Amino acid sequence: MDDEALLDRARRGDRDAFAELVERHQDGLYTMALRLLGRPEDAADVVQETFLRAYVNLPRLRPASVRAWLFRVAVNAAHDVHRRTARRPVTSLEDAEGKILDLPDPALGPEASAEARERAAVVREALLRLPLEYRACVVLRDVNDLSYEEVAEALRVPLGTVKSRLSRARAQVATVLRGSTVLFPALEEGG
Amino acid sequence: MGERHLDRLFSEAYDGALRGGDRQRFEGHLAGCERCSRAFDEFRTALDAVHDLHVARMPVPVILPASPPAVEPGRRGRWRGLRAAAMGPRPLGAATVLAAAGVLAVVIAGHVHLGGNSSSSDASRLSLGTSAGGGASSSAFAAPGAASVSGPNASLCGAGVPFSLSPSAGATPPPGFDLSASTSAAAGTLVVAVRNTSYHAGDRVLVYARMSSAGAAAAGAPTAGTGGSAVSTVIVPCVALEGARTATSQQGGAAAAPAPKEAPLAQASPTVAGNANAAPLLELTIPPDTPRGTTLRIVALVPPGTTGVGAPVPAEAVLTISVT
Repeated sequence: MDDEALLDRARRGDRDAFAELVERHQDGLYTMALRLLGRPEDAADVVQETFLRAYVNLPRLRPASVRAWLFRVAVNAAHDVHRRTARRPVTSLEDAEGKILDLPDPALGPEASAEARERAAVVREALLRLPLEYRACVVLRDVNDLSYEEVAEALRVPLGTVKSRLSRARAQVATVLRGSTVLFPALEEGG
Repeated sequence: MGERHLDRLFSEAYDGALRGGDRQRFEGHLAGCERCSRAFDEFRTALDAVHDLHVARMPVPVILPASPPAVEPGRRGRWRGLRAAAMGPRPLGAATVLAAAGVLAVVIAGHVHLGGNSSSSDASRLSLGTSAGGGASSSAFAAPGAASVSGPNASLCGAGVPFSLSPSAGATPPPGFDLSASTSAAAGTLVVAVRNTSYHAGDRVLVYARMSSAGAAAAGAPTAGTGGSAVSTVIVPCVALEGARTATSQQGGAAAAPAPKEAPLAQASPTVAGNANAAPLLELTIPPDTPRGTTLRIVALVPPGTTGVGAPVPAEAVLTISVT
């Protein structure tokens, strides 16, 4: 059953259908929020908030794409969290690297190499260096694999804006990562 | 010179989204431009690394209002009176939205499977059912103190809901519920917790309250136990908000004592959750006219003889909050 059918059932009072939507999307939304905000607790808040908003809005919810709509709500919630926590001088970007950020990765498993972890840490840091607006674009497209159209829906911007913003954001990410000897070992060898 | 290079097309080229002339121009250019060819390789390597970031898993269960997502008029039954508050702009915060919804909360247990038990979905469904076992237990909590819990859902108070979980799972309050109290009894541990020590008049207070009782389930439960020790019972305690303006006695006859207007200081709204990380949340409303400086107590009580508890064990845990 696709998302829209589930949503339709949920709208008619089927809580299990909504629970299924939660099951399907919670990890994607959490990943997005985590990469956007850097703090697991903030990311979990965003997901919680997203589904609550979806739930209480169900009767009038008619999105073309449930997934894109959920991401839109989550992005808005993440912005709220970002605004709220921006003044919190706790976790700097430097501190947000690596262990603090990272959750156990079931995909990598215990045998995950140190190199893989290091790569991931470098990438996460590169993302966190982007302005939030750009970061959201890259995360939605490159981490969550949303289509251009879905990104446009999630960010509520025209398709052209998505493309140009994504282009600039990716260029910035690439610029940062080009300096990483973890990703580009030749840099180290070549001096 | 700068226009010669085609960095601006890297992004769409990476997605394979270049069309027609742009695509031909890009490919032709890369074939003859070592700088762009190398830069695009690096761009691709960098973006591939972003793609390689793993999917993180939502570490805590999502909590949702327990009232039906869409309620048909006339079918609200016991939920009448818990109608969702008007929608509108709200500050961020799960508790805030729950409060705005004016309803109970329930956990969608997600995929957080602890202990390898497999019946989480059934359990979740069971827990979601606001009528699950409710009527049957209505007489089980006609006990001192419990009567001060009022409202349409009082009949669920004290209901035990069996489900699979590790006996210790969920014994501690969820993150953020920093003010807590617990009482150990023979049948298990009663825990009650809230987020803050002080609230404003009119606030809705989310209360985490549960008593877990391993192995004592099944009796009279709708899903008779399937596996001995794997089945535990979570008791949703009666939770009452008591304060200076309520009848002072928590022992005996509290229901009759307060004036009707002030009686529902305690609007505990029991709800139960399904899975290992279950977070039974209840909601209390601090009366809007509560004066500042009032000290209130949140009393969680599992009356003797509660269905689902193996022994006639009363247990009580009390928190103190203030109204500012």
